[in-house]
Amino acid sequence: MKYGVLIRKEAWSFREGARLTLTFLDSDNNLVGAVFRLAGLYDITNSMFEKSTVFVRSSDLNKLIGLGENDFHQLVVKISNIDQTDAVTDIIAQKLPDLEVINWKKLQPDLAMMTGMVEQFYLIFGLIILAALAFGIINTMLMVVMERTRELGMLTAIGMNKRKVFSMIMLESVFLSLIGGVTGMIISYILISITSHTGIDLSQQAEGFEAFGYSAIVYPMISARFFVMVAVLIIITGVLSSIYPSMKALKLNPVEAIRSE
Amino acid sequence: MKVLQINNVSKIYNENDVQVNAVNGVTLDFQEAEFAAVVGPSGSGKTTLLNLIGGLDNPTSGEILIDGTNLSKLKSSELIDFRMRNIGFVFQAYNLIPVLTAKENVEFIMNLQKWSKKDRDERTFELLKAVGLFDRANSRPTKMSGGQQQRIAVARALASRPKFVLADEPTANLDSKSASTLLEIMEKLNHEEKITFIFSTHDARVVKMAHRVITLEDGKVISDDLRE
Repeated sequence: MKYGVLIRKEAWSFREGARLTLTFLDSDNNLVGAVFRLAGLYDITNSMFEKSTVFVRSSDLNKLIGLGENDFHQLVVKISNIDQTDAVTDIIAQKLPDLEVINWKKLQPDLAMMTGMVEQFYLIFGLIILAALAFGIINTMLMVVMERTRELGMLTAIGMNKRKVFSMIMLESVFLSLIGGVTGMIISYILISITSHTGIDLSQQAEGFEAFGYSAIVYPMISARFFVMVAVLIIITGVLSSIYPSMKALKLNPVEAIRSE
Repeated sequence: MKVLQINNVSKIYNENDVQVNAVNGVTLDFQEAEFAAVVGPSGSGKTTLLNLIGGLDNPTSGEILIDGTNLSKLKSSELIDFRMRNIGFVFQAYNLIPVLTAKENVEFIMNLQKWSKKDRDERTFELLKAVGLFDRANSRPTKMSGGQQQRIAVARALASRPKFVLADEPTANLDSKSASTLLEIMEKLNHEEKITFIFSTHDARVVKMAHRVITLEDGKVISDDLRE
């Protein structure tokens, strides 16, 4: 039998080969027990699991609880895409209606809640970043309009119509946003490529992470879909932010603008 | 052939509750290929008159006809388009676009008018040669002297063959040699392109070269001398 290191911490004595009595409910709900000998320890990044789980031979266990040699009372399904959790749960439940199908969100509701909160946090954080981007663009483009007052007045004087002036300011704003956005994405891609191999060591907070089943070393990853979404949001923000500065440019009087310093 | 008719045009500004007659009942006609200077002391209304002729400002009364089109009857967007096609501007401060090369500055208006690349290049190089800056076609304005920049501005003003060119104090920021060179080029282009030039100026050299000198004082025309 192997039990988790945290069980060892709780146990008042440990030595390899020592005996431990375990009790179970069998398939008829009768209390049964047996003595097992300790074979070793395991150490994973989930402290709750370590506190509550021991491993024994399935043949020994099945005999005790009255199951056949090849019977199981629980099957764990691991999927590669966490976003498909609910969909896969529904599919399995439909195909195997006699089974109780529970996904990780129900098994660990606190983890599900934390994950949900983190997703909302990221959404708010993302909106704050986009708002900061928008204000940055508005400020920059207003300065551009102010500094190029004479040029804009001249362009209107020689025949550049309002639609073209508006489009010019808007395009400059979008290009500005895109250049910044693409640069940021390249830098983040490089950093994520490196840290996805080396990991980010958060062992200072290891105890807290392991309580939820997270490793203290985080390996970030990012999808292409995320980059596309960010690029689209940057363009939209650039376009919307340029409206006010563009309107200011249109309101310039060419006679006064040409004479400005 | 009359390219420009100014009929009893006045412009009144309200400054601090005081009415200022910047232009007062001016009536003038300009023919094709004229080389005219509008002179007068500061505050006489020269720049205001040019702004009115150029459609950059609206007269309080009177009408301005360019090739028969009454400017005050045009909507704002039509007026901008009309300016682009019919009026060239040369400003005192050159006002070239700093991020574009000399060639790109000259062909800017032709781009707005959607000329073909072939026609644009042909006209651009023709004008750059005429102003003596063919070899500086790919230079940016920041790499040029004031005189050179103003020559590029003249080329830009003539690019789309406008009905006339308005030049507001074009030599004011130039040294005497550059100013003389510029004026010679403008006179040559006036002769070759048959495009009317109307200057607002204090510069005696411009007055000397002009074929017609219109003197303004307090917004009124006090003399209109045509020289042979």
